[in-house]
Amino acid sequence: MKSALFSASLGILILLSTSDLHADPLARERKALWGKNLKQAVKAADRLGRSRNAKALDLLMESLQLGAPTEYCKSRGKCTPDLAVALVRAIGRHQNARAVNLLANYARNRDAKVRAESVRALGVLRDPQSAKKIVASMTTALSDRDVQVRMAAAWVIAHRTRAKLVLPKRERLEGLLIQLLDRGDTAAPSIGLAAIGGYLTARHLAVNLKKLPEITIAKVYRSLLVRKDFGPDPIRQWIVRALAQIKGQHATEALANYAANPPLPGLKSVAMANQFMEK
Amino acid sequence: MKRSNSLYPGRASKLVLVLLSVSMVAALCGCPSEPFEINYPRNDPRSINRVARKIAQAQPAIRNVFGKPMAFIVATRPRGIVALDLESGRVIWRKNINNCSSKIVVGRNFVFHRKGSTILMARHIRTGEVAWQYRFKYGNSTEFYGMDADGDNLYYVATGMSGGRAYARFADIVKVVGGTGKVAWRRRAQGPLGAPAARNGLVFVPYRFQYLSVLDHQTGDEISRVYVRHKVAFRDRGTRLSPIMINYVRNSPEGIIFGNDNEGAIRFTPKLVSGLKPQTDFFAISLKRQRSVKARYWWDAYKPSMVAYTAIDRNRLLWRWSHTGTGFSNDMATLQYYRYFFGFQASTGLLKWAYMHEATQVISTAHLGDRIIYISREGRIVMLNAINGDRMWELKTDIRTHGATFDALSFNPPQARFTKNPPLLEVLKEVIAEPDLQFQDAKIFAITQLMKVPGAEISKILLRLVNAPRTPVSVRLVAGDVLVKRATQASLPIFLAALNSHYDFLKGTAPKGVGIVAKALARIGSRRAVLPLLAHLKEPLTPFSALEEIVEALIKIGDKRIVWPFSQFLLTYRAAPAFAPQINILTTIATSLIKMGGRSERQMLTFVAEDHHTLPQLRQYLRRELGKTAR
Repeated sequence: MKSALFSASLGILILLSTSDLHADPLARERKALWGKNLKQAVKAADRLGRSRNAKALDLLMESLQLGAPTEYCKSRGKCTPDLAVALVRAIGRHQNARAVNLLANYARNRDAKVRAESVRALGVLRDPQSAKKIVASMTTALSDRDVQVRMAAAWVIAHRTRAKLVLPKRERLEGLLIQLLDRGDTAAPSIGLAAIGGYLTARHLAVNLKKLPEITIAKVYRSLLVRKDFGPDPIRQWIVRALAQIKGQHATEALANYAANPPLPGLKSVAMANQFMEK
Repeated sequence: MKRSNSLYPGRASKLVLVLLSVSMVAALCGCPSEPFEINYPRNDPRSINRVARKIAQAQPAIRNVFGKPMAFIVATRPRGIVALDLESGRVIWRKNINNCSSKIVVGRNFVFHRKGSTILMARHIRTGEVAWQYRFKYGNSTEFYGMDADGDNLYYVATGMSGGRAYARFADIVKVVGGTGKVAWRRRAQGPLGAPAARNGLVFVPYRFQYLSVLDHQTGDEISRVYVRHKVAFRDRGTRLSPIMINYVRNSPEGIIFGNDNEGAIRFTPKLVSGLKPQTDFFAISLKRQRSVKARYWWDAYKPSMVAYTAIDRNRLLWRWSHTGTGFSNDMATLQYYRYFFGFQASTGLLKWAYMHEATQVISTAHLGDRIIYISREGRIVMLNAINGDRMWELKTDIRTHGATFDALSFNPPQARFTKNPPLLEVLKEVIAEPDLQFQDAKIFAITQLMKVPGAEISKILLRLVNAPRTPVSVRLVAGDVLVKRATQASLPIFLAALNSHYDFLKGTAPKGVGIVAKALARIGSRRAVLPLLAHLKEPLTPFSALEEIVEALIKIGDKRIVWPFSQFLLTYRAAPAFAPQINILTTIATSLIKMGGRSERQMLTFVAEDHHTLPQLRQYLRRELGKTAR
């Protein structure tokens, strides 16, 4: 008798819960997102980011708009979960143009991690109409005081170039990255210039061979030489000569890499690289 | 006992009568009584008038026998005393002496100084040779308060120490005859005496902190005593007449001037009969005390340390009594602070001019009527115009100086090296921009004086000072304070321009002093400041301290445009742990939204108060505040 009653009540509970789920498929995620447990909330945000449900983005945007806790570290390694970053990342995964304004707003948050993540989330948007706003945010992010935000902006430039997404004002962005080099930042420019660097970059690096770190020059030159769209060949030859001048492991590796993997056939610069390697 | 009392009633009453009549006769005939008696009559009209008449008798402007302006310099490297003729710049004599331990006092034929702690020495003014030496009665335990000369006679005040502060028990005033070095008289006071001043056969000495006793130079008898009272307000007890503390007396060509070194000066005139400060010739300059920059009117006569040349000589007020009547000469007083001079209008306390001596310290100064003379550490003697600070004359002596006494009242130098003093603002700017970190107080003093100087240009200077990275914190705080207090509509463009700057790593720019600018804008209350302030509110790198000021300023300006940005700010950071230590920023915003916002803002605040991601302090605050204002 008791077991019959228990099974009946369990059945009713299951029915009720399934009917709830059918009514709002995101109810569980919403509950987790707004719950006290931040770990669960972060996980829910992650799930919502992967979800293809259109309402998932609404829920994420609503949650971010109403404010979410950022990370707080009592001591090294003992930090609370960063729900704001998780939400921004999840919104970015949706790659939806509706989130542009919200993300642009959060790209000016006081928390550097949130800013960096918002810049990345903005950068991956495919909507060509949002490109101008994205570049404006990139420009602001490149002059941010925090290096992780600048790196995020440089990463976006590289990403959009590789993914062949619309990237207006490339020359201006290249100029800003070169300026960053002059300000002593080598992390962000070596990411960005590798992707969009051209004649200006090659020249600036050649002029400042002794001022800039060998690893930065070698990394950027290596990336430029590998690119098929980079040229003409006399500039490549110039770079090869510059790399040969620099004494260091990374420069040698860059030359060797170029000699071994020529991007285009019949380049004289490749032959030059081989010659230098033999020497 | 009963019997004995009843046996001699007639005798006792007769004795009392006799004593009374004797004392009345003595009082009527004006016979001098024992000096420093506690019951000596105060502010007696006859004696005060007599003393005032005697003070008014002419006295030579220059004390020394030559009648020439002279400086007596205590030199270092080599140590000694140098007599210098200021007119010719010639050293009259130089005597090497290691332990001159007091200021030099100039008499007619002698100069006097203390040697070590036990000997008083007189030197011939013509040759510098020792005329006589006098050993203090109390030897090594002497505490010496000061001396003054009248002609060739010397008067000094000293006491014997035997543990603790000696002056609390007794002090002696002694007359030493200049020609012989012999003691003419010695009078003991059962209480403290201060450094004396002598003039026209009268000796003035502060007594028991509240009296000025006048002694006759021949007998040492007290012939008059002055006591001045003023109204003092007591908390919850109304006002009461209280004696003013008299801790200095000064002999100057304009008369005998005494008073409290911190409060002002009183001239010895027949008006003292009333004994009330407002009815006497009292004058003081209204200057606020600025940290260590102190407007001391004279040296404290009760402090033995003032006998020597000390740092006190470099931080005091230089003034002279007006010949014409009450107040200071030319209505000017000059505040000296080491190598800085600030000339004030005495009646208003308004800064009129400032002067800065180059490089080294100013050691000793004297006010010569319309002029101020000073000597610097490296022996440069400079004369300034006391009215405008122009440099009138200069003499380079190359004497390394420890201290100097000037006997040069009528000195009128040839205007050979006249240099016009730059305008006040220029000098103040120089003082403020001075890289010398030693005298921050002078900078702070100069800055505070800028408060009264009109013009938007000053705001620019102050803002630059606040933003300069090398400005010390104490100076920055004062500059910021003054900047805010003198903020007006005229300086609005300067503050708005200061807000144009933003954080930019590429350009290397960062807004500076945003908090102070926000404070100033709040004081001005212009709506033109709302948008620039909101831009800085959104700026991610604005420091928390500045955020607080921005929020306060925006609320004070009271523009409705702040409601939306405030609500967005609150929502964004309501759960940010970084705001937990600065929760007052969020609570202030929330309060302003309760006051200024509508229904939607209240809904939003209710959500913030209920949501468990919100910082606990903010939730608690909002619950309480929303509860109070629930409709």
